Amino acid sequence: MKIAKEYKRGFTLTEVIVSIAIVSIVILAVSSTFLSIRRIEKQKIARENIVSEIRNIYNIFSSEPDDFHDLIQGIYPKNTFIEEENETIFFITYNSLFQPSETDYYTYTMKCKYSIEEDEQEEHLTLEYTLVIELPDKFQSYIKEEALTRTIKVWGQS
Amino acid sequence: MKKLKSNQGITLPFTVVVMFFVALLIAALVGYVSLSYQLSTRQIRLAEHKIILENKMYDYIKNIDDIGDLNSFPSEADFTPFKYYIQVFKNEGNLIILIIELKEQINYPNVVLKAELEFTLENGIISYQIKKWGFN
Repeated sequence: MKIAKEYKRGFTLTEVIVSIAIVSIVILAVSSTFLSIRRIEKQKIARENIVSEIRNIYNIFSSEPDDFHDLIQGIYPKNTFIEEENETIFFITYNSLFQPSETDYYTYTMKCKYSIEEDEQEEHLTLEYTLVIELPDKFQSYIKEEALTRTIKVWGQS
Repeated sequence: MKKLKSNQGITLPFTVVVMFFVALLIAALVGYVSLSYQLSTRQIRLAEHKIILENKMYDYIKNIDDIGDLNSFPSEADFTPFKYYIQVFKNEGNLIILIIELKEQINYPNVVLKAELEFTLENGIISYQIKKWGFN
């Protein structure tokens, strides 16, 4: 005797609900992974830029500590500065990826505190140039504090 | 006449295979990002340590003070850095200072900053010129 097989056509409600749940989980996993990746990539770029910026600024400072004021003005024309009693504070502006901001629109400001201490002993002047970099709050954990202060001493000035 | 009928809808094995490949894709993506992040972090840490070593080197040079003659440079003991080791050599009147970062982590390369400074003493004033400055 021939048994006729009957095939179900379409999906049952349970199948549809289960498949929607599975697809939702997959979409959620993919999108959250993608968002995390984007966030991590942005953090990575910002960290790279911070270290690179600090290195550049210290290279400028170390090469010509007495001309730092003019050099920094030439390289970051958008920066502003205030002169206080013992130090000059430069404000350099950056975007969210910590790239120097070329426009008036910026997100973060880094402070560079530049000071010169003079010590005159027996008619000889000794100069101590100090540059302290202060990062915006959001980026303070991106680099060790030890990397943010440099003092260069120059002897024999008269 | 025999009529061939195909299954309707998605079979369980097909779903399992698709899910497996999706999971594989996500795992590959996460693995790639994790690896790239680790490599980048390593590069950033190296650059950061180079800045720190340069700062330490300038600190060391700063400590060279009130020197009557070129033979009384501050010893390693006068400079007590945290996590760093200092070696000082003299070479034909020049001073070679090595600042070595001690290993913080296994498999992390030590960074050595080598500076060669030429000191001169004229009329009781000591001054220096940097002859060599680099990492190895």
